[in-house]
Amino acid sequence: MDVVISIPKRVVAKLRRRAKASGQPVPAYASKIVEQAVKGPTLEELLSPVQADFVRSGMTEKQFLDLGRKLLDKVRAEKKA
Amino acid sequence: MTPSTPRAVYDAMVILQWAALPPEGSRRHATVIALSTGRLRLAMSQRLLDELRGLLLRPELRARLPSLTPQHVAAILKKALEFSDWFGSVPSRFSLPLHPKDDHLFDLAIESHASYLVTWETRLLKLRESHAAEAKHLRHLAPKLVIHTPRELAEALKLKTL
Repeated sequence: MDVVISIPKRVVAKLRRRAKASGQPVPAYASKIVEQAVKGPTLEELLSPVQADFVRSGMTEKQFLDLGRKLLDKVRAEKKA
Repeated sequence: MTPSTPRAVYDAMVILQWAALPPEGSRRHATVIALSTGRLRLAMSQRLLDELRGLLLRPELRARLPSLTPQHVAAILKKALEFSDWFGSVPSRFSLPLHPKDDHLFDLAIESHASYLVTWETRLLKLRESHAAEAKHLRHLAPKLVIHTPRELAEALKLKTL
């Protein structure tokens, strides 16, 4: 599938240099970069199961943040020790 | 991202909040949107990363959020680093005498020339209006640094969270 996008000049120059260094034509090189960028989960996808756990935990946001503060204090105290 | 993308330091509690608390209804966390849309880059240091890892891996937290396995925490932090600029060396330049445990956040903000320090902590937010010597010193060291709550950050960036 072909997609037309607009790329800033300074990025194009860099893209050309890197494509040349990798021995690939610019479109093939750019396509690989885009493929790598969208391959893994997004941050929001990664956080989704954690947020579902929070809902299942039955804690309120305040209870959770109070717990977080206590745990952060412990982390910092252990770092200091 | 552009060469002039502003940087922000998020304190560990802000990151814990977006990691674990579901967005309200259809509202997404402004602190996440700012990063994923390239409006901001996160400033990150080894100290802050270690603090985050230590927090997310606490057994007391995992007892309530079982998804926070070491592998999943590693994946979340790796993803967060994609939105971050790394500062390998962060000199000690600033200290809050009563709360030295926060010093590394200020030092990172100073070193990274961050535009924003994002926090819910009252003790840090109070520095904005303070005329105390340490507040003046911070303004001298980081004249463009603004301390915001996540909500204020959304307003400052005019982010649509819906």
